[in-house]
Amino acid sequence: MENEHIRADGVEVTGYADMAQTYHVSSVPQTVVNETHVFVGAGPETMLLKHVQEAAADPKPAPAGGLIV
Amino acid sequence: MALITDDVAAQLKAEFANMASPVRLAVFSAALADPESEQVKRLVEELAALEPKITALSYNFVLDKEKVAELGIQRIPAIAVLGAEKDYGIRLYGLPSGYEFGTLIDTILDVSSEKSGLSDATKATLAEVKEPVHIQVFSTPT
Repeated sequence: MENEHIRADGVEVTGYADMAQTYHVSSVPQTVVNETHVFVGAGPETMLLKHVQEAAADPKPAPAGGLIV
Repeated sequence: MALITDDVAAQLKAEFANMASPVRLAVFSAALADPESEQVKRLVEELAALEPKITALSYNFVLDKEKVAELGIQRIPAIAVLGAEKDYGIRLYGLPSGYEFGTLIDTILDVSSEKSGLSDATKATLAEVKEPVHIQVFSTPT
């Protein structure tokens, strides 16, 4: 809501076994930013912010629909 | 039978009574491909029936290709939580049951208030982001 470049999905992953597999979701909540920046658990606001900043600064384009971990 | 019980409906009505701006809930389903997605459509329509400021917009994931593309919907069931005019890029995928039902309600209230609830420091830092960022939060119903 604070920046038009940022979009956010909440995914209830039970119905999407393919996504759980693609993103290696084993513990929840798991947050994935631009396919590459991952953290597990309900971290503080600052942790999400750090991952958003790193992902935005990352020159690698996010692979379409895929994942590199 | 209604998905939202009378007790819950009464609580929700009280919460929605303070909504500032209208909210549109664009729900994407497909009865044939995913019968479960019809449940989400029903849930969204029941929510909209509780509060005049909430509008349900029902789309078929297979047939309404233009809307699917416009809102960038990837799979179903999906709910795009939209402001009266603005799309903040918020999408909820899957069944909004258990804890996720609370997430849906909180998201509606946040969008209605046009306030993210983030700290001023976080907002200032986020304002500097110029590149596309896509956040995905995975959860399970607990």
